[in-house]
Amino acid sequence: VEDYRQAAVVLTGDFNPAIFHPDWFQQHEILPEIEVTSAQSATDVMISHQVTIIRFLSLRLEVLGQRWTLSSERSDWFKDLGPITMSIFQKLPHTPVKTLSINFSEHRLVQKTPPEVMRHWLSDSKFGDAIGEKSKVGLVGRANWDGFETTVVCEHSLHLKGAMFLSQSYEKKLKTTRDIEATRWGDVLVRSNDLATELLGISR
Amino acid sequence: MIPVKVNSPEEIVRQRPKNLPMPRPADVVVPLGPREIKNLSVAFETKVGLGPSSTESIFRSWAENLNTVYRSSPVQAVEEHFDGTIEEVTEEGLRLSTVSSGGEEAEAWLPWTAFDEDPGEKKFVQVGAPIRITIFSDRTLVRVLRPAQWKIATEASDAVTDMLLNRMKQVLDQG
Repeated sequence: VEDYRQAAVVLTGDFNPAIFHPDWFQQHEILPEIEVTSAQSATDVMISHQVTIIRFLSLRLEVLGQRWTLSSERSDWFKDLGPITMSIFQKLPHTPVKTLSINFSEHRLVQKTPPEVMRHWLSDSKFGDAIGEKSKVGLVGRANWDGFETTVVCEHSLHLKGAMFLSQSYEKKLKTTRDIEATRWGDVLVRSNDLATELLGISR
Repeated sequence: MIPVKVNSPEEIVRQRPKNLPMPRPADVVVPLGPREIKNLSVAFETKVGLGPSSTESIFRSWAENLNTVYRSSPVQAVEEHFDGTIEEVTEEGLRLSTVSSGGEEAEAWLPWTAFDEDPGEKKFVQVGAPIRITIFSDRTLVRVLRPAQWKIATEASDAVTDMLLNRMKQVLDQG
């Protein structure tokens, strides 16, 4: 595993997974043709009334009855996940939606070592001593930021040696799909990059 | 060493307490992505199976076990990418203002041949549209955002138009 980043837009509400078919995306011209044809020719697409999983060329869509997720591991798409979500639900305006969450996860090699990063934020960890030897203690924080409830996890990566794991979630309640349009996607992306820089001591 | 027991989907469903509230997105940050992104051990990963309903739990666990279905997208190695806005459209190509992935701003010229990999994107070219140029080792992909993905809502758009018209009138009056 190398440096790894993923961004996702997660909606909770009531969804009909079967609607989301590559042909539906083609019909509404929501994604580039090359993305749709990739999904149409893939053998690992699953579409049913209970769950839909579509792997486009650069994006991944997973829909359950109560949860809808559009994600990408390609940073050149991060900025557009929100606007694409917006355009999808403009076609489905009566979908009952409850919450929107914009999530970022990364396993990242940084200039400082993970123990150095964690010591900076957590100078005295009696908790680590209490749980056992060679302990690695992480941080979970919840806060409010610009109308979002944020959850941030910062700890040693368990998958990439010498790397940090950072997860950020920006969540807000929705009344209707129109509230999705009011989301300032760009601001959240800038905020997530700034926070990663501050927490991990890295520059992008 | 305590053996780690990984529950089967049926056991997960059976053990799930009644009226368990649905996890909030923040509680399960990017829960449905590829396995690598989670920073959890195998034993903890089973809790992701506690989805909103029994049926869905079974489907989730089933999907997780099918590598062919659940594997992550292949991440192509992106050498560089540019975010741009279309400033001018001519017969030869497009004039763009761009920002590189490294944050460098520039004016750029994009010939129509750049759309050869996905010619369908030409349809969405218009002045003001955001454009994305992704450079791989073997090819360049260009995509243009759809109007519904970047045009502001009609009411807001009307307000901006009114403001610009007023501004123009003021300038003309001053002249």
